Amino acid sequence: MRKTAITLIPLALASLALANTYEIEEIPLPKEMSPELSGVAFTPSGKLVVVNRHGEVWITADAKSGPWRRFAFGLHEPLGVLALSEEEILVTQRPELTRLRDTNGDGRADHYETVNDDWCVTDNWHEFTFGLRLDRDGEFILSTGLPDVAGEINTRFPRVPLHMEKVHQEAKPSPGRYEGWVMKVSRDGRMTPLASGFRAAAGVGVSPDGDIFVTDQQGDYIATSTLVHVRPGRFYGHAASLKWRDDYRGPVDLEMLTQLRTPEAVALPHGTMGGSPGEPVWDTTGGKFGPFAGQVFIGDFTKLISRVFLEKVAGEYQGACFPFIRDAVGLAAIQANSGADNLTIPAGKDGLKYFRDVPPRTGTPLRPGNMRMAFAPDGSLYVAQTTRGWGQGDGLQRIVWTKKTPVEIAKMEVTRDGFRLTFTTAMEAAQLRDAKTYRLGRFRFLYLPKGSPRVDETLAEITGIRVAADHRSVELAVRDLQPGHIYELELEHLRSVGGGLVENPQAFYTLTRLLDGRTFTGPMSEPRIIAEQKANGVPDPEAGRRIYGTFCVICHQPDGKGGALPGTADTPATLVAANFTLRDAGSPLSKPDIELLKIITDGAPGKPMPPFGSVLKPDEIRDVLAYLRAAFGETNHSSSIQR
Amino acid sequence: MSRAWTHAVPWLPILGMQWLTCLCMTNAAEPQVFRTFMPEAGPSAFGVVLGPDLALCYDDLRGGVNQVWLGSLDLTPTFQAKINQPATIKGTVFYKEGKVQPLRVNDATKAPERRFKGYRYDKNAVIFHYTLDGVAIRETLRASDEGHGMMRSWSVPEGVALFFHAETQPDAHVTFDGGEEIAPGVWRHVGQSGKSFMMVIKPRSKS
Ligand code: HEC
Repeated sequence: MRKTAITLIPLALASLALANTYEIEEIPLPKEMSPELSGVAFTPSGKLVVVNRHGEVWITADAKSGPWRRFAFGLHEPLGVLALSEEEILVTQRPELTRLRDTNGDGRADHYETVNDDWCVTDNWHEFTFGLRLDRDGEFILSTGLPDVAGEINTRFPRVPLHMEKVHQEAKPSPGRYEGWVMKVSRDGRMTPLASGFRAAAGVGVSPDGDIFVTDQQGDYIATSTLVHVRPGRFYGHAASLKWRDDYRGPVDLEMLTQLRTPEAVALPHGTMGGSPGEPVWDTTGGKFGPFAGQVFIGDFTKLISRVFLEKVAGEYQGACFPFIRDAVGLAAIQANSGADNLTIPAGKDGLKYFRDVPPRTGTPLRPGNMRMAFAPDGSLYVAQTTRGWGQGDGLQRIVWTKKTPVEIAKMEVTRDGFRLTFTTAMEAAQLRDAKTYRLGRFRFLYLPKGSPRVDETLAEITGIRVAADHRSVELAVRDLQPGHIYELELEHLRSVGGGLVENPQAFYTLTRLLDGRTFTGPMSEPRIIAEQKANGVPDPEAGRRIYGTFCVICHQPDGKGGALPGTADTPATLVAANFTLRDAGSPLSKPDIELLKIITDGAPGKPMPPFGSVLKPDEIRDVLAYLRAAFGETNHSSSIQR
Repeated sequence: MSRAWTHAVPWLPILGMQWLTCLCMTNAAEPQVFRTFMPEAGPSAFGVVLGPDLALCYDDLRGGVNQVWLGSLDLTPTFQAKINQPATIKGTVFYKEGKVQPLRVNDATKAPERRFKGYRYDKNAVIFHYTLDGVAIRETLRASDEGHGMMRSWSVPEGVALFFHAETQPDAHVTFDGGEEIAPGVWRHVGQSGKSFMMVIKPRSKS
C-alpha cells in the first residue's frame, strides 16, 4: 500500500516549475567499472579519481569522454580517496589507510603500502573507515564507524590486539580499537586519536582554514545528524567510544556524559535535512559555483544536497543549514531503504512528519546515495553516489552552476536580538517588511541514549523587522531568543525584485550560543514543555499543516487548488489533485469529515489520490483534515492559527 | 599460457570476469589480490588469485595462508550483500592451515606480534610485507610453473632465525627448501643474503 502512495507522487511533479540555476549532468562510466562510487577526488593536475565499493581506483583526464584507467583494485570497501599525485594515491579501506604507488610507471599501482592500521576491524558490518583529508599540518584525517549501541560501555576487550576467537561475533560491542573516533595519521604512519563520541562519522572535511569537521549520523546518543567541529580531546556524544580514552575510569552516567559532551556546530534536522549525511566540502571555487563561496555543501544518502553557513560565535562554530538540491522522493528513498525502524530512530513513527513543510525542488535528476563530493578545478561539484545495496542510485553526477543567480537565503546570522538574513539578490521590499513573510519556530533535540524526537517545539514571535537599504538583507528581532534551540525559518512566497521565488525557502539555525556567549542552562535530557496529550482527540491544524507540507502539497499545491497537468494534442489533461478552495455543492470540503477521513485513509479508488492509512496515524489524518478546513475551508483563518 | 580457460569461467563478478577485465588491461599471468571478507578467516583477509585455476586465502590476523584451492574466487556474495557476506571459494581445497601465528622469530615457542605492512606485485608474484616482533619479513607467493601448485618463500634479515610450524596436509605434497626441520613439523631458517626459505605446495590430486 505504502509503495503505491510513494510511486504515484513523481507523476505529479512536472507541475512545479524548476528554476534552472544549477544543472545536474550525468558522467558516463565505463561498463567495466562498478558504479557504486564511494569516493571522488582530483589530482593536483586536475585528473578525476574515483573509488568504488568493489575496491577499484579509476582515473581519467577527461570525465566526459574518458578514457578511464584502472589504477588499483582489490581494496576492501574504500570510502575515501586522496590523490597526492597521479602516482601516489591514498585510500581508506575498511581495515587500514593505504598508500598506492605506481613504481614502474605503467599507470597501475603495484605497491599497496599499509600506512596505518592501529584501529582494527571485526566482521561487524558497521565498522567502516571513512574520510580522507589533509589537515593544516599535512596529516591524514579519518574516522571510524562504531558498532556499539547505547548501553553499558563494554571493556571486555580493552587495549589489546584482536582475539581470533572474538572477531566473528557480529560484535556489539566490538573489540575493535578506536571505533567511533576521529583520528589523524602522520605521513610516516603514526596515528593520533583526536576526538571521540561519534556514531558513524561518514563525512570528513577540513575547512580552508584547516579546521577539522565531520558529519555524524543520527541514532543512539545522536538525536539528529550533525556537522561537528572536531577539537582534539573532546567528546561528541556516543558513549561507547569513551573506553579508548586514556582517562576513562569506568561506568559513566548520562549526567557525566552531558558534562563531557561538546555539541555539534550545526544540526541537520532528521528528515527535512536528510537521513545520513556524507562528506562536507567547502566551496573554494571563488564564485565559479555561484554565490556561496566559502560555504559548506553536504551530500546525503537521500536525494538531497544541503548547504551550511558557518559563523564563529563566542569562539565556537555554529550556523545554519539550508536545502540546496532536494527531491521529493527523498522521503520515499528513506522509507524504502531503511525500513520503518531505522527512520524511527529517534523520532518514533512521528519521524515521518519531519519530512515536511517546504515543497522540495522537485523533478531534479539528483540520485540518492550522495555520500562523497569534490569540487573540480572548473568549479563544478562532482557527486559520487552509492546506496551500497540499500537502494537504487549509483554513479557519478556533476552539478554545474548555469551562471544564473539562484534566489536563495545566502546567510542566516545570529544578531543581538534575533537573526539577519542575507539573500543572494535584492528582494521585494514590501514582502521583506511584512511579518507574514516569515514563519519562525524553535525546537530542541534531547541528549538521550536512544535518540530524541523534536521537543519544546514552539513558534517564535518576530517583534521587529529591519530591512537593509539594498533590500538584500533583513534583520528579524525575535522575542525571547533562546540558546540551545534550533530555529526553523520558512519564508512564505518571498520573491526577488526580479520576481523569482526563493528556491529553498527554509533554514535551520543551530543557536547553541547567543552573541554574548550565553548557552542553554536547562535540562539537556528532558523536555521543558510537556507535550499536550492528544488523547482527548482534539485535532491539531498546526500539526496538520506540517503533514500537508510533507505529503499533500506536491499534488494539492500550497494554495490548495490542486490542478491538472496540461494535456497535449494526443493526451488529455491529467487530474493532479482536487481543489479544496471550491465552494459549490459536491466540492471537496463540502463533504462531511467522515467521508474525507475515509478518502485520505483509503485513497480514491481509480484516481491518483493515494491511501495514507499506512503512512499516517488516525490522529494525524484528523490533524491534516483540520488543517484543510482551517486553511482552505469556508472561513480561512489559517493566519490566526499560524500566529 | 593458453587462454582457452577464459571461456570456461562463468562471466559475472566471479573472478573470471575480474580476470577478463584484466586481460584487456594487464598481463593475465599476474596474480590478483582482493582484500575482503573471506570464509573461515579473520576480518578483512585476502583472496589471492594466483592463476586461472589456483587461488588462496591469506589471513594476516591468523598469520599466513589459510587455504589453497584449485578453482576460482567468487566475490559476488560480498558485493551484493548489504550486511557483510564472505566471498565464496569455488573449487577444491587441497591445503589448509589453522594454527595461530605459525611463524616465529628467534624463539620457536613465542607467538610474535605481527603487523601488516602491505603488499607488492612483482612479475608473476605477490609479495606480502609484515613484521614479526618488529623484524621485517617478506613472503612471496606465486603459482608453480605448471599452474597447479604454489610456491611460497620468505626472506628475513641476515642472522634472524625464522621458525615455521607446519601442519599435516592430507591432500597436498609439501616440500621445503632452505631450512632444516628441527623437530617434527618445525622448520628453521636463518636469514642470509641471497638465500630464502621456500615451501612448495602441490595438490595430491594432480600428481
Ligand atoms: C499523488 C497526488 C496526490 C497526493 C500526494 C495527495 N492527493 Fe489528495 N487527491 C488527489 C487527487 C487526484 C484527488 C481527486 C480524486 C477524485 O477526483 O476523486 C484527490 C482528492 C483528495 C480529497 C477528496 C476530495 C473529494 O472531493 O472527495 C481529499 C480530502 C484529499 N485528496 C486529501 C489529501 C491529503 C490530506 C493528502 C496528503 C495527506 C493528499 N490528498 C495527497 C491527489 C493527491
